[in-house]
Amino acid sequence: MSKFTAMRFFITILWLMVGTQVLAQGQPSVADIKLSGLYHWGEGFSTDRQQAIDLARQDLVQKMVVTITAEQNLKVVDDGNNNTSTFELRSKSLSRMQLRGLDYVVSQRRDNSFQATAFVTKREFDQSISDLRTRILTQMSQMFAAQQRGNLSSAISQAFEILVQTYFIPVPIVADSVEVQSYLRNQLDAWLRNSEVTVPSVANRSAPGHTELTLEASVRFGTESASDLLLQLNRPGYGEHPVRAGRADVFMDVEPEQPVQNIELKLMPAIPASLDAEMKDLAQEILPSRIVTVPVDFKKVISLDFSTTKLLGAGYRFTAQFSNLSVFDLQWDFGNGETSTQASPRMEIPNIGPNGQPVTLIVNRSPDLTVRKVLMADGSFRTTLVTRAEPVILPVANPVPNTIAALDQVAFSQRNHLDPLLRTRNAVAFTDQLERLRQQNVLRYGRSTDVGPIDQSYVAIVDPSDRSVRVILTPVMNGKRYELSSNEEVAPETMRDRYQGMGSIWFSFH
Amino acid sequence: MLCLRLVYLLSGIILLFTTRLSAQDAVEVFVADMPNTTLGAAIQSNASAFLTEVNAAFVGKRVLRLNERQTSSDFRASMPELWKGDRFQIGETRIIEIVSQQRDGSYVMRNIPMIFLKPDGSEHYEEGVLQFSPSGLLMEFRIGLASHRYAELLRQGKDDIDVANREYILQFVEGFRTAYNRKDANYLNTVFSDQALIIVGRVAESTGQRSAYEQQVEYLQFTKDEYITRLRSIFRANAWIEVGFKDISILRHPRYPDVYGVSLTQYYNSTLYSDVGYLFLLIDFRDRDKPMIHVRTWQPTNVTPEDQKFSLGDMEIF
Repeated sequence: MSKFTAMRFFITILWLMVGTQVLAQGQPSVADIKLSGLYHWGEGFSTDRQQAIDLARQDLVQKMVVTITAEQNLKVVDDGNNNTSTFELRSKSLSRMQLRGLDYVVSQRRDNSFQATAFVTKREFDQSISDLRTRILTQMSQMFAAQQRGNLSSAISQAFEILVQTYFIPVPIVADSVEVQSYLRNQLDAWLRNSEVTVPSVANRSAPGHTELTLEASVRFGTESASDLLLQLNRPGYGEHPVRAGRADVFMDVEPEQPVQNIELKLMPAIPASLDAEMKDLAQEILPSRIVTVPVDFKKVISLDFSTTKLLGAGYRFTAQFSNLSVFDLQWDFGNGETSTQASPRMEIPNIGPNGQPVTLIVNRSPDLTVRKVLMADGSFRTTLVTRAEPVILPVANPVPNTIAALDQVAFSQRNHLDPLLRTRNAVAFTDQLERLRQQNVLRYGRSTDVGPIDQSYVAIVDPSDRSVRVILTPVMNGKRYELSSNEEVAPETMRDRYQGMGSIWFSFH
Repeated sequence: MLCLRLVYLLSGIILLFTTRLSAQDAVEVFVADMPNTTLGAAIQSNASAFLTEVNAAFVGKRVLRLNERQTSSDFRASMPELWKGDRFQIGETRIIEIVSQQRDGSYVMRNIPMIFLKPDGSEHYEEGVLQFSPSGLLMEFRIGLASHRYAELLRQGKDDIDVANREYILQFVEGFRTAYNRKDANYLNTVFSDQALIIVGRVAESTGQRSAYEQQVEYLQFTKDEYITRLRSIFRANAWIEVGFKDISILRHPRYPDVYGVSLTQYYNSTLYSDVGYLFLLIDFRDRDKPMIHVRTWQPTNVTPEDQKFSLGDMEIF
């Protein structure tokens, strides 16, 4: 060995030793990370290097949640869909956080798989949490300021947004997020109770064969016109309507059974637009609400009138005008002994005196639904009298149980789960919901052979052309199923003909 | 002169490394998630002593000397049986691992790196699993699944119960495999239900067809007693048996969530006979305190059913 070669060999060894030492100072060793007590750390194994790193990060997050919340449920399914536990929500929330100082050590094992250790110092993690805490506290102070200004709409909106966030926040961030949740819920309930909900008018936009009423609602907090709220007819299948500047138009497509009746409306905060999709899902689940029973006067909707057109000679055309579809009987009395039951009768009335000729239209043979006018010789009316003094019950020819009655047949616990399913029209989203409920051990679903007996199994009918859920059928009750939207009876033996070409998804609750 | 000094210096460095290498027999185990606890200290001490003894016995080509204050009587009975057929040394001098508590209160430490020496002189890598009593005594040693595969199978669990069941299944599979390696018919006798349907098969004549049902396959159906008697005879006839599992998949029954199917590829090597087969085990957790293995079948090809998750394509069309 030459002198030069030996020297170079020696220097190389020294360089390697010193170099290794320097590198070691740049990043802590796995032993330090795991044993010094200064780090939060997690570990991942995979044949893929990047996946090992991702798993290590996920493990780190789980361990941090366990550490800082003392929750021992170690199961986390991070598939981006399932909000099956608070623990998972918190894990996902931490996953999204920008963790200061997050780093990894990756080594290759003898079987060529990778072992990754993700770590962050406890000090840096505390700083990350502190940043989050500051943000939440700022939001809370803004909420109190809005309340003090008397802007309850804004306070409700902010309180609800914070409430949703508390589900994603480990307990120590705000002194005790469970207490904060409880406080916010009570506050939201109290504010919603302060609301005054009325329905001053109802607009009738019905067309032949189709009933469509709009309850023109007013929502106020004292002198404040409410905003950022939602109002909904408290019946399955009805959508939510925004409250803006104290007003909301609530859609209703059923015939009022009485001219004046109490309608249940559900008032709730709007889902804040600033929330991400996952938080919005949760917000839907925990949405606080107030059910308000509001007397609604439908008398104006039952508009009764008739018009007259003067024809040649002494002829007149009388046309009954009504928008209510429950009108089934018309009786005309032309004051001269002549009568008619037609909707638009033609009548000769000669020699109308200076005091005119009284013409009366009685609807549904009810004196309370009477229009009387005095026809003058030139075709005009001198006086008009419309009698609707008392509430009038309009008979329905073939009463069928409505949707609520059919839903009343099923267990209350099932109704809670059915409600969101009834609102879901997209079949893919529908099966996603079913899958989520299956994972929560609430129900099973699949083909007819995969679920319980017919007196327990619901059937969702899906239109394959647009993948929409057309209708959900109840389990068989007294030999029949019922469509939950229209409540029409469906005999099980007729289903194949009735829904020919449609798909079916069957489900039954445990 | 300088050259001579350098040679001395290098010799010194080499001597230093050699001395350190000779100390590699000693294995230090640290329990990362149990700092400063009596149990953590007991597990560390007992695991370190055992793994150090494994290395010493490997280098000394001798039997294991197990300390009765660190190991259970079952461990002292079963470990030497494994050692007769399989000799291995520990691949690291410093092992830092976590332990996980089991349903029965025991603790499990995974990922112990082991290098096996085969009779033909070749080496292969495996990962060991140590199981400790609630007081930290060594209870069981198993040849484990690779850490990434183990973690992957647990991640597939749908809920807490599913994960716990999978953990049990994987422990069972590891124990099942290790029992073959130590030729332990008594252990295998305990894991099957008395009414288990056990089917043993072999390909009598290959037809060249892919389908399992087109092969010339001989199937033999045994009761549990018949199967165990047959195993004892096989164990007596073979000086060593080595069983390896891979391609494990765990399937939860779509209609009965407490029933699982486990399918795996089994590599069977022994003094007299070797084959590759596909095992299917049906494990029933409906009695949670006493899981039962109802079916053990051998198949000439893997017929793992596909995931039963419902999709729109599965809809019935009227």
